[in-house]
Amino acid sequence: MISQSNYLWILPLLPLLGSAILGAIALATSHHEKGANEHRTGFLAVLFPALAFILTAFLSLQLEIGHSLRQVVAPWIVADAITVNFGFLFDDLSRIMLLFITGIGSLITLYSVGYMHGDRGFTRFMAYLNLFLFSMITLVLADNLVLTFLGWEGVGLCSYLLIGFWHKEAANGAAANKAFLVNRAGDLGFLLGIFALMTLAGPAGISYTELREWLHNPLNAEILAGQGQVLVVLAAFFLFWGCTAKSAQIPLLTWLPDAMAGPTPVSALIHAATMVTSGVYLVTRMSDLFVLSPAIMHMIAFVGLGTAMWAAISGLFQDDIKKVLAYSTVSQLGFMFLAAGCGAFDAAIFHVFTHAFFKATLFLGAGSVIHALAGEQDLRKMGGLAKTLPRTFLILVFGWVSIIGIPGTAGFWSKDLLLERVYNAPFMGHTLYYAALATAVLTAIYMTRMMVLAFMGKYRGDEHVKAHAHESPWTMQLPMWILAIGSLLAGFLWAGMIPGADLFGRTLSSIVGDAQRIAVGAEHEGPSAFVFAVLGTAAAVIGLLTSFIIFTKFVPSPVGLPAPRGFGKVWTFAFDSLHALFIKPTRALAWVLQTIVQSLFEALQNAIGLFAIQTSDLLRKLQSGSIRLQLGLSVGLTLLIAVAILGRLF
Amino acid sequence: MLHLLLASPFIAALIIALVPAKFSRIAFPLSLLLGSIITILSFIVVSNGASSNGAPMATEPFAWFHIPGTAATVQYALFSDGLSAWMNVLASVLTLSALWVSFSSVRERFAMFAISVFLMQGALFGCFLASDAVLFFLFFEALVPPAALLIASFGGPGRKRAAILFAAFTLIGSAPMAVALWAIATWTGTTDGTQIAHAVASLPFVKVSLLFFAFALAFAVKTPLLPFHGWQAETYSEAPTGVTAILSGAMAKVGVFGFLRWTIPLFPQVALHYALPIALLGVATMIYGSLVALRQHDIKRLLAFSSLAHLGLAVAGCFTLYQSAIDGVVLMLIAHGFSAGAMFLLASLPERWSKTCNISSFGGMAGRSPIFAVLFLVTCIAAVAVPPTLGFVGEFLILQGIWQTMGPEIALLAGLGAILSAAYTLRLVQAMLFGKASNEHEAAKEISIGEMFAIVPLIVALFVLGVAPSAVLRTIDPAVGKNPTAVATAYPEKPSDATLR
Amino acid sequence: MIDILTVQIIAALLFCIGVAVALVRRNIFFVLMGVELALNATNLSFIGFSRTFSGSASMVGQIVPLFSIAVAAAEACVGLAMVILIFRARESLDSESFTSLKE
Repeated sequence: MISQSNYLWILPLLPLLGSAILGAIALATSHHEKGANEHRTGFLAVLFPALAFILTAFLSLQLEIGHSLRQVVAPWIVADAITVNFGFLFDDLSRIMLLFITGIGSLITLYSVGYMHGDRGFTRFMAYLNLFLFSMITLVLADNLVLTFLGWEGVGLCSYLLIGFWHKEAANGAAANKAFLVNRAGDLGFLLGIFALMTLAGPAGISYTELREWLHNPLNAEILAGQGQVLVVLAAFFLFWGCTAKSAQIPLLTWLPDAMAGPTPVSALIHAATMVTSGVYLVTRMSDLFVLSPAIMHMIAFVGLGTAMWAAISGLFQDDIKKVLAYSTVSQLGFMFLAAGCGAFDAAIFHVFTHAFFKATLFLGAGSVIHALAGEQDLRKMGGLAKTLPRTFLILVFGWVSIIGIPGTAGFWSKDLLLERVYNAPFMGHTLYYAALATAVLTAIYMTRMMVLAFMGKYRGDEHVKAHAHESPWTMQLPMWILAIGSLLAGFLWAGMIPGADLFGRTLSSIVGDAQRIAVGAEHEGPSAFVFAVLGTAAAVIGLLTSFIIFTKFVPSPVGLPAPRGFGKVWTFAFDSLHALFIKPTRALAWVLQTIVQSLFEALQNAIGLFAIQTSDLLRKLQSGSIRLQLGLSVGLTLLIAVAILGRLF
Repeated sequence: MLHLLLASPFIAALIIALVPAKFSRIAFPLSLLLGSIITILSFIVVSNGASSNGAPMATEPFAWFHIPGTAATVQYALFSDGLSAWMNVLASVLTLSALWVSFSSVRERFAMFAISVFLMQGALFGCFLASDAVLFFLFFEALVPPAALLIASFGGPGRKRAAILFAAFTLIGSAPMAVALWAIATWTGTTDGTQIAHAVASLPFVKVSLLFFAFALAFAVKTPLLPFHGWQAETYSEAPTGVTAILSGAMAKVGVFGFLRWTIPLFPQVALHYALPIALLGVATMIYGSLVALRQHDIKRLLAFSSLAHLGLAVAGCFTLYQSAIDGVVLMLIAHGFSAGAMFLLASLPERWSKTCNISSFGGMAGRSPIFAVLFLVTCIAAVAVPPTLGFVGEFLILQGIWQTMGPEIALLAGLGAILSAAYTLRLVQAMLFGKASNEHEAAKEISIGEMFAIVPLIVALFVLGVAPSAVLRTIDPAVGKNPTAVATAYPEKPSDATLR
Repeated sequence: MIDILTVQIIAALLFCIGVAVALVRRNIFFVLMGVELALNATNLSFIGFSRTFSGSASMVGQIVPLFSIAVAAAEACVGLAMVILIFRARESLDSESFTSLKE
């Protein structure tokens, strides 16, 4: 049931307006000694996302489940083969995404007001954040793939701008470049997927609602079974390729750990809660397409599981608090794709939702720790901070219990549901489940390690730093508390074992219900939810205890850089090495082209030029100034001409 | 109207030439005024097309001279559809901006500079407007002397060699086209662009192929395409940067325009036959240009190879012979004209401030010249075709056309070019704007208001047109690029079919 | 009677010698001499043809050489006058030393 709305265009416009205003202020004050007044710009920066959140909440409350709002603002590209509009679709899926994007976005913007206090680029940062929110809102609100792509590339661009925010350090720029390029490599896949869909379904291929109708239309079943099958597989493959880059899955995940070079609010917002979940969003949005290709679904599940396991192991080797959380994000994203690949799209989105809360809590809390310790990020130089920073400690505890899955927390409900669905998946469900459970144990281990190293034991760092450690201001505390409480309570929107507490699931069923029925087949009896809950909790507790015991005894010494060494290094940078296999030959090819081929072209040009010069030099000798030579030539040539003419006459 | 448009740059050159040496200081404001008038004229022509929904404008043909030994009479006739009109806009806007920005580097001899630039602009207008093949060729050749003069008089240290290289390459490349025109005049008895396609269709395939390749060679040297690109890097690098903006932004478009308007519609069967190899050549040019750009340290050479890459994709798009891809090519030409023009003009500023073009000697400009840095960054973003810029729309349509007509593998290859373009552009941005400045102790320079006036409209156009590409698409003659056998109807049979001006 | 062919051959021979002398010798006087010889060889050729034909054609063969001799004399005058002027300027009679038109 789709009805027309006239207000959807305001949603992306609000942060765009904010970005434009803040950008203008930043430019106007760019030559001043200090930047613009932080109170005013901070207020503006939080105002626009907050307004967007209020509007989203208002629209959501009015909307019934199963209904959507649609608005086509204006045509964008009108060509022979395709018509793309600036169209917005506010349905159940985009509503959920928008609520937490705008909500958490506003909170993190408020946090940044405190975190970035005193930074010369304060206004610029706020402008970039608003631009990011604009792109993200466009991404989830668009009603067609091309407009989604606009948001997709837009978030990639903002990610580049924000990772490299402190641009005086060359390393930050390198990380930003890497993020943009890896994302671009994925964007190519997205585009090719769009083209495949256009070939398959014509102009209907890019619009979400029209594609759904097309795929369900019995007239097209023949095409889909026949030659369309290849196109379906191609489209699904290419779109998933795009997702691996944006959501940091194998093999295009190398940019996310490096992205930690950006300020912590950026890591929280972009690389935990919103941008990286775009891939899961896209897969869910296109679920009708993906379920038509079981091979690709299996691939997604395995890639997700592989990523989850690989990242969990990498997390064990990290000494930088943000890097631990980065690998944790990659791992949790892997869980989401595992669920999607097993046909549990709604469980994947639910985990996106809860993950946004607890990961943002963890990142913001880590940011608070870093802020307190004046920039220290090395876990080996922390310790015993539970007494020094009690409120931050409590916040991080909330996030921690959620991520490892202690019963009752948001992370528990979503992970539990996810694992249960994985177990019931038709293809290798049991194997996938046990592997995922093992990964959950690993998750508990490395997250507990982080908590123990940071907050327990003795302080191992610089005493001077500890003396100045202070809790963060209210602008940072308020968002953290809201999110921390969210990490505990958000899960009750879909608490599997509590009857009736499945608002979330019911909301999504209109979007993904059909697809899931195709993927999973009939409901079959398996072990009850209680069993899964027990196993999940057991995994969390085992990991927690193991880690607690090990890391309270074996404390690492803060020697050298906080980068993994030895086997840890090989493991962590495995995919960077894989990428180098592509990058090195490209550079070599560029070298060959420039030194050899260009020189060949130049030599060829010079040869031709030389030929012309030599010929003219030769002819020049005829102008020797010797009268006799000139006379002789004249006479000789006249003779030749005469002979030629006479010869012709006879 | 078209006559006025074509004559206006020549009149402008004449006016400046008539200014007595005593008053040479007014050459600059005078040339800006004349350039603005010409720009307004070109916009009027475009809006005529917009209001008439793509109907082309043509002039009454005026018999000029008779080619001896053939039945052909060369006519002076002009024709403008959406493509020509937008190319004229591009040429006039870039000329105006280039004149504005170049003043600081040229100073005393500005009158001579302006005259040559206007002559070049006039030749550009002639190329885009000519309806008769020989007339087109006249203006095509006429591009060379003013450009060579500009390079040789106002360029960098290696300017003489660059000017000679440019002139030699272009003239040798277009020599076979002169022979082909003679052949057409002899075999078909006409040189009128509207009639050649019909007349040539009855000739044997081999002959028509020779004609096709003669035409294609001239444009392959002008664009340039891969084996004939040797003149580009040196010429773009040695020419004064304002002139390079015009060369890259408008003159290179004459090459692609030649493919779109003269090569493919005149010889459609041959174009169909050789479409795939030529498109592959375009893609190869794109990848070659991007890879070599990765290794450049001179900003102008880097931008030259970037131009090579972008136009390689445009030519590949032409030879998909697919309607929406051709629309994409037109959009991409406009987008590249503005973005390459803006980038060269922006690059002229640090070149003037630091007297060097080596990107490693820049750095940290984001902190010291923030407004310049923002403009440069935004232009690079537009050049990399991030939506919603015009470049994205163009590339999207072209890639889709390549996918549709040539299959996924070649589309994938062409897409790699997009990744590589991001790679070298980001490298440029990193080297110029970010990191530590190498000349911390010097005073920071910043872009001036006047220069901003010259450059910002180009950038704004990229975003405005990117969000509303129908402003361009509405004015394009819908017959351009359709089914090749019907493409001959791109031109009206008789001038009375089109609106007369 | 003398064979017509003989006369023509002698005339041709003389002409060739004259041209050869004009081209090969470096001294300007000898160049002029060669030119005179060539001119007189053509006269001989005409007179030979005059012997062959009869009537008005025969008259041509006698009148043209008259013109030719007159022209040759005039040309020799002018040529020698120019040689004197050149000699005054260049102090040399060697044609190799007049190379101002060299590129």
